[in-house]
Amino acid sequence: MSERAPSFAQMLVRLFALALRFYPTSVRREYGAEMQAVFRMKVMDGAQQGAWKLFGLVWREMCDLPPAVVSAHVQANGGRMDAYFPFTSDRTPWGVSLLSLLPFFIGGTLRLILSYQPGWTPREQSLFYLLFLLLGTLVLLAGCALGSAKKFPRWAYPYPFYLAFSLSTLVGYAVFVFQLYFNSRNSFLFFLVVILVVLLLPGLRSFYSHIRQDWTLLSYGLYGFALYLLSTVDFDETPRLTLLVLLPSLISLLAALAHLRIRSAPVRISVLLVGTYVALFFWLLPIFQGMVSVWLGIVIGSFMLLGYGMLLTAILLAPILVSNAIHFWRTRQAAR
Amino acid sequence: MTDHSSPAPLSEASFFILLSLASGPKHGYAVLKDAEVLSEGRITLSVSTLYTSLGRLQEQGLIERLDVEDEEPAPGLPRKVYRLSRQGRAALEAEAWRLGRLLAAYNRRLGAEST
Repeated sequence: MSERAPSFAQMLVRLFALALRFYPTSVRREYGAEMQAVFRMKVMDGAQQGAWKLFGLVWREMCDLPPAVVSAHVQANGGRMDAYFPFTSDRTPWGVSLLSLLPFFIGGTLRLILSYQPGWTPREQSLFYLLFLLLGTLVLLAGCALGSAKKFPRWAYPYPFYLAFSLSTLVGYAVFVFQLYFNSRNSFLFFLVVILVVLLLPGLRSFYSHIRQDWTLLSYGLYGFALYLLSTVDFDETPRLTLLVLLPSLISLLAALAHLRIRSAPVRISVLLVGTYVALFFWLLPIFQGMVSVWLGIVIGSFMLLGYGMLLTAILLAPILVSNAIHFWRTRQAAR
Repeated sequence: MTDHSSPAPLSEASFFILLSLASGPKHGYAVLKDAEVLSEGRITLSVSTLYTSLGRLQEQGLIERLDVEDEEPAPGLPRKVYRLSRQGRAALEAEAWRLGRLLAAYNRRLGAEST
């Protein structure tokens, strides 16, 4: 074993000790020292058998740790997931689910199909395309208004987020078509803040109040980011309309449909994450294929998949992590 | 007579942990290594899976956690060991009986065909 190995092994043990902080305090107190001791012995053992063995055991630990931590938290809560991450077990009827996704199909998948038709190509300052963007935005606005009239059921949550994207695209494209001297680069954030502030108005606050009872509502709302991203296309990489262009958008819609029909909170969130990663894979596929060599394509493609995937995972899980942090903070305050 | 009416089948990890402890009390690392040997290298438990399973088995009363009796345990070794409880041994026997029944059913239907 090289001289570097022990210090590397010690670093792994330290990292594992840090990772143990994700466990509930009761579990850490009971098993923490013992887990560290066993991990230390495992690493020392692995280091003697070579780098490959060491990599294997670290990889296994990395894969097994998140479910073990979640399981430990659920166990510490007496097996009740909803005590920790409040959620409701509602299920949106089939008809409403499909209708609620129609604006995203129009504004996403259908927009992609049209953008490849002669006279509609966005790069050619198409007025048809601009009108279609306006129509898509109006449909989303109508959906948002209907959702607020119905006191924001689950299906309505992605509308405000997607609407911010739609307004921003509309303004950006209008600036391009009419050659206006107007900087529309940060319009998405502007529209998002305006929409979120409007939702604070009396009569619309159910958008926020429901989230407190069910954090998965906000995750589904933030899924609007994924729905939008996955209905975009790089015309340089894919100059012709193929099924591959539409697949990411369709997969993301299918995941949204599954989310609306599933009652269990962990499964609801998992289906959004799985849908996002599968759709991202097909979204990035033209980029992998465009690389000079297969291996370079795999390496850069995997890197991009992880980058985009982790960003969207962080966005989708942010509500649960915030809920977790609030719960932790309240428990500590109560203990004082 | 042993009661084989086990409430639920054991997971593979739990089965090998109980089987490992059947030969006597062991600390976590020894259980981990033994499970690998018993499963002929098929099961390599991570530390997090091992302790999730140990915690659950302890809660179900199938194993007990004890302090090391030796005054000076080997350096670096955990000071706690795990022991199979009477209930744990019964669960292990019930699982072995259940697996035996499954194998017998398989052999009755397909065993003759495959030979």
